[in-house]
This record gives sequence, C-alpha cells and structure tokens, in this order.
Amino acid sequence: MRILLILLSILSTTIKADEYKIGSGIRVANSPIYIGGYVMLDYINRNDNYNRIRIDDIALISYANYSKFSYLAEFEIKDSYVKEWGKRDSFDSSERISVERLHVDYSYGDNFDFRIGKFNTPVGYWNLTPISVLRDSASSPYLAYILYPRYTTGLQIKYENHLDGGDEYTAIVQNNQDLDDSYNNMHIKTHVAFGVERESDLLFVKANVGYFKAVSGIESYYYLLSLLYEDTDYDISAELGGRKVDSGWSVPYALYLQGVYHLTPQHDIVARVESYEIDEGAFRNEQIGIMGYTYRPVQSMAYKAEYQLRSYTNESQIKLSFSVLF
Amino acid sequence: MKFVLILLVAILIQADERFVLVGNHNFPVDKLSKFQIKQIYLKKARFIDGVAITPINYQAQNLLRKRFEKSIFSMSQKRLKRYWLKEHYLGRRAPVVQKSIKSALLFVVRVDGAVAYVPYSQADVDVKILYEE
Repeated sequence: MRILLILLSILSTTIKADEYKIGSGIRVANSPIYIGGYVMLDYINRNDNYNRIRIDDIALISYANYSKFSYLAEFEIKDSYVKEWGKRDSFDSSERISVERLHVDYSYGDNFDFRIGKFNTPVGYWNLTPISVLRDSASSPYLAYILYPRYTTGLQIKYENHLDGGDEYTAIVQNNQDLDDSYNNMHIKTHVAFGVERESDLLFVKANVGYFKAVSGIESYYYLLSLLYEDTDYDISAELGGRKVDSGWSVPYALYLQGVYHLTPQHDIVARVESYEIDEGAFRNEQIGIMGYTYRPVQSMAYKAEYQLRSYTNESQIKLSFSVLF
Repeated sequence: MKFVLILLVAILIQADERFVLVGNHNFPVDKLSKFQIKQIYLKKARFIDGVAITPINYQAQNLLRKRFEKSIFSMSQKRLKRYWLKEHYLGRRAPVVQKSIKSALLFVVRVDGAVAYVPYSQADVDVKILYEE
C-alpha cells in the first residue's frame, strides 16, 4: 500500500494535470506512458446474518502504445481491508501487491496481434471486463469463476479483420507457471484455448473451447458460448458453458441471461438469472436471480445496489458497492 | 455582440453542413464505408496496408463531432463513454483531439494515415475524400 502511494506521489509531480479527466488516466510528462487505476469496495448482508465490508481492489495500471508495440502492467492489492460480523466475527487486512496483468503486445501486418505475458483469458465477454466499475451489476455470475482460469501467462495470437466484417480469431497457449498464481482462480501450468468472434453492428457472438492442466495434474476441457446485444436503451447478454474432466462433467452446465435497461445516462437497472451445477468434491446445483440498480454520477464511477435471490435461501443477500476508475 | 452572432451563425452553418472524411493523398485506400469508419474511430482497425491509421476527433462539445458520431456510430454518448472506459482499462486511448478543423486538416496533410472529418466545403485539394455523408 505504501509503495503504491509513494509511486503515485512521484507520478503526480510529472503528470500533465491540465489533460486529466477522470476515467481516462494521466499521461506521464510528454511520454506515451499513461497511468490509471481503480478502487472497489463493497458490503454484503446475507440472510443467515453474515455481514462483510471490504476494500476489494486497489489497483494501479500503466500502459503505453508506441508504433507497433505496446505494454500494459497492472498491480493490485486484493482485500486490503475485510471485516466480517454477525454469523462470524473477523478482521483481516493485506498489503500484498499482486501482478494482475503484465504483457507486451506487437502488431504484425494489418490483422495480427501477438501478446506475451500475463493477461485476462480472452474467453467470453464477462472475463474481459472483470472490474466492477466496467460491469452493470454489483456481482459476477458464477460461470465466470468455475469454468476456466481467469488469467493466462503465456502467448496470445489474435487475427482481427475489423475492416471487413469484424471477425476475430484468438489462440492462447501457456506451458509454464503462472506469473503470480496467488492471483488466479485456478492454479494451472498448461492452458490452450481457441476463440472465434463475429460482430454485426449491435450483435456480438463468440465461441471458445479450451484445455488446461492444473498444478495438481488434473486435466480439464471447457467450452463457452457467448452473446451480447447492445441497443441504445438496453443490453442483453448471455453465456453458456461447461467443463469436463477425465471422470466426467465437473461442471455439466453454467449459464446466465442478463438484461440492462439504461433509464438515463446516470441510472441503470439490471436483472440477471443464472444457474449452474458443479460436481467437484461436493455437488452443488443452484439457481440465482438478481435485481440491481446502478447510479453513475460520471461514467467512471458507480454506486450499485443489488438483491440476490438464491435457491440456497440462507445465502440470499443484499450487496452494495462503490467503484471508480481513474 | 455582432461578432458573437456571426460566430454563432458560422458554427450553426458548419454543424448543418454535411461532412466528409479526409486523409492525405498517400492514404492507402480511396474509399471507406461507414462501418469501416466506425471501426477506425473505435480503434478496432488500426492498420491499412501496413500504415498506422490515426483518427482525429474534436472536443466533446463540438457540434460537428456530435453530428459525426450520430451518423457513424449506432451508439449513445453514454455507451461511447463506457466503451472508452473499457479501452482505457485494456490499455488503449481514444482518438487524438484537435482544437479546430484547420489544425485537423494540417495534421491530416502532414501525417500519413491520419483521417479527420470536416465540413464538405473545407475539404481542399491537399486532401483526399474517403467518405461523403
């Protein structure tokens, strides 16, 4: 935490203050380097009298684009403050800085992009906007945590043909340890995945398949089908996927359907239904419905309130959050 | 007072006039479709025939910009702002902003691959018209 603050103070002496607009980062002097970051805190109150308040993310992002090269680095302090009370009383804090993303990109020709380093696994739509302020709801669907490794450390090759139809083909490969495996939902040493996306004005569709091998040696195969429709006043998104291991389907299915209605430029309402079944050690089959409201005084700042109605009724909850991207 | 009125009328005429998208004479293609312009201004398409494409924009309140965005993007202002927030998180910047049409044209003439939208009447012989509204 102290390191981040020192870094920010040094940078604040070199930035071009007149250019700054919240949500767009700050430029370091006259260099092509930009610095940004985000903060998220939330509160939950569950039916079983469990309460938690936490500072979930404090992150610093730096990136630059120069000719055909670019880089992006993101460092984050996760759960820097967590207090629980009610059903369970505890307090925890952390100053550990994790590497969330760290990659160098190179554009080759008109259509190819190569990326090396640690990056968000380019699977589905949810995983590409993993931070709260960019999302419409306060929570993420379970599907985003149980199907695939959210981060990959390796190589990504992307073929894009955005001038003629908007098709995109992506391949990723990892055959090494994670750059920082404390910051990933699955501890993996191998990951291979392919994706194809088609864009047609307001409609985006995507299909992904992948294979990964955990540090424990367990091998998994997954698929994910995604759809996103963005109209002026509303958005609809849906994803469906599954994951298989040698002995059978560990996640026979996981899906969600979400609708967002943009009441005004500042106010949105969101509704989502989701369902999943997971059979890994313990069996769990759950249906969840959420209703939420988001207020954005500016687009880079979000106050959210959400009620989650869950088939495990003890876990039904209210979630409130505040997030900002700077 | 008279000056302010003349300025207002000039701005209104400019905003009402149809726009064209221009590049310099080295620009790698002769025509661009509306879809292609959208992809360029969202920075999804960044190279054509190996040339880096640099889209030029104006200040957010510029009337010509509002007209251009309405015509080219099927997106609300809110969605466009959210798009650039996401791109900032992914490490990409919105198009560079020039303060005037004159400076945008100068930029286009000097920098290969730069494109700007300008009122039809201001597209002179130094530039190539890639799209007409």
